[in-house]
Amino acid sequence: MAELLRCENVWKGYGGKQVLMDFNLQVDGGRIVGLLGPNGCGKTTFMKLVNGLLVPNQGQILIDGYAPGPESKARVSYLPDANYLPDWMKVEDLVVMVADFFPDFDAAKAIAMLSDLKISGLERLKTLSKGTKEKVQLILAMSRQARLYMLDEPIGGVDPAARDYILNTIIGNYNENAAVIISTHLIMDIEQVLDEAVFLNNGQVMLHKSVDAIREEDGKSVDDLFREVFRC
Amino acid sequence: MGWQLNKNQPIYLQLVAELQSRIVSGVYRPGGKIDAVRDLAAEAAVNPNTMQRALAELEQSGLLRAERTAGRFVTEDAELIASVRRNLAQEKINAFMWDMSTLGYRREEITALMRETVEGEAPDGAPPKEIMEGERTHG
Amino acid sequence: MLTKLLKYEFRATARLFGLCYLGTLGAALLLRIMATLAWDHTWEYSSQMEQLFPMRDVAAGMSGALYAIMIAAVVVLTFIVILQRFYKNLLGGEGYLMHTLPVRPWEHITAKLIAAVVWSVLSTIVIFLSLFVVGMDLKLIRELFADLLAFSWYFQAEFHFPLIVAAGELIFVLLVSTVASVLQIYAAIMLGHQAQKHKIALAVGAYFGIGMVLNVAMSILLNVLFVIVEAAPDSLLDAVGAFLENLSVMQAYHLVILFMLLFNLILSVLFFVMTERLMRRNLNLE
Repeated sequence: MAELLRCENVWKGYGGKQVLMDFNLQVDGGRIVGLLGPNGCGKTTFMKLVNGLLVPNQGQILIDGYAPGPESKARVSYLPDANYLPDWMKVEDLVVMVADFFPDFDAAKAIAMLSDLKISGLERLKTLSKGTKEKVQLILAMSRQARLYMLDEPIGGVDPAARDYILNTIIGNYNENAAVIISTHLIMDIEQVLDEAVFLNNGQVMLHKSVDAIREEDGKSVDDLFREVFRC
Repeated sequence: MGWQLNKNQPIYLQLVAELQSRIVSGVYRPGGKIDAVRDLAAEAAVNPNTMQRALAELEQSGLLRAERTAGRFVTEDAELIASVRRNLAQEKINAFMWDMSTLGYRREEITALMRETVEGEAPDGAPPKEIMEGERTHG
Repeated sequence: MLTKLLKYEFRATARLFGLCYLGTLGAALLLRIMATLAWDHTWEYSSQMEQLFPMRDVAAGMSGALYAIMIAAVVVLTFIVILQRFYKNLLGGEGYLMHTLPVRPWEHITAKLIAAVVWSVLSTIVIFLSLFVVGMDLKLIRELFADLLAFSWYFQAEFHFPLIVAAGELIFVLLVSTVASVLQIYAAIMLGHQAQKHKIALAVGAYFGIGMVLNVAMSILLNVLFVIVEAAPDSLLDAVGAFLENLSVMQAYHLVILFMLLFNLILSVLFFVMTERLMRRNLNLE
């Protein structure tokens, strides 16, 4: 199993504030990893760094051996926690556009998933509800045959039935040559899908453990452990 | 969707238990082929690695047999299946006995109650048939 | 990748410009018609029109106003689209999509730049075309072409150089200066992006700031030139003077053209490098 993500001694701060401090993380292929932590702990900053949207002050980031750049971007499928698609485009146009830029995009799969979730390709994004927009974004991200999937709150704004569908898709997409990193607050809903849990606090990795090890050794669910560790 | 799983305990052990149930009760027939890891994982709504671990355990114990490209098959060893079935039943009985003891039931009371339930009418008038033929309810 | 970016760039903007251009040409046509109805006394139906259409003066006036508005709209639209496409698409929410494409920053900048220049040129052409629609008739066009031809003959005879090439050089310089202007806008936007708050205000400030820095640099250069001229030996000055006096009009023209070209080229490169660097190293999407 190849090492798909390696963050070594990464520091990132802006506006006078240190957000990530001596951050270290390795993720191997075939792993589904949960990135868990309170608001402001650096999860989104981490995701942006891996995607080349931010440059670290110090340290090294390697995605499948590549530093952040066009080669790594071609191998990463990112689902940000925001509306990032051009509003004026139609859903089917978006499918075409993503296929245009990413050779690993499976358009047929995307179309099948859109149909499963009853989303019409002819609608313009701006006419869709927030939840539907998120579904579209997720479908586009999961239809890539990427090496690394970075999902920022993939099930947050979505109804429970769609949530099941999404988790099902993540499981179904499983590939021992790819890794998935999910950043979320809804730990209880996804923890049975995770291999490993990474607890992030104040810009540092507090814990990186296999999920079953947590259950065996700590005798509690990841959700319970989280509540305990991050008790307010 | 997904199997009923307790998140406070190792998932893979719970998967092993469910698969064992299916094998010993005949839902998965002896010598029959079972679904691929990916499909089982999707059905259970769990991580494929976890399901893989559970299947590996069952291979270890001999209940499942992996044939390289053909997939996984239930063993044809009827004795093994019967003995696993017996062990699982015993575990359930032990748990039941413990639960009943917390209600204050003594051995003889339990036996009498069981006899009534299985053979005659149950104390509250409901016919015993429904209890014995209870469907396996799982997702 | 660059061609793909360009494709989507034009797709995103074509409809808006198309409608605006159509509207402008339509307004020009309308003005032409109204003006003819109202004020063209050579027209045979003019007097009948006066009775049938008493509002014609007002109509013509309003058409004129409409046309002026459309012209202004084209100019404003071009400017706003150039700004918005860069700011919103690359630094707004869509930035999450654009910057995760397997594309380098310079390709993004170049795609936006090419589209910006193309729209600027097209808008200029459309405005001129609309003027034609308003004011030209066949006779005038023929006269215009005749004059143009005569002038180019005269030009060739007088300056021993084809008019069309001289005009082409000028147009080329204008193009490069458009490139520099657009890149100045992009650089200013990237500078403004560095702030945590009030990014737009800072960008505007940066734009004028860059302008001021350039002015100051020019002044300094000029002063340096004066100092050099003061300090230079007379022989050198005489030689330079003689050279300049002996220049033909065309040679002088070419010298100026060359200078403007170099100036704008250097500025363009400067602004491009600034923009690219900031985008590659200092991107910070919300």
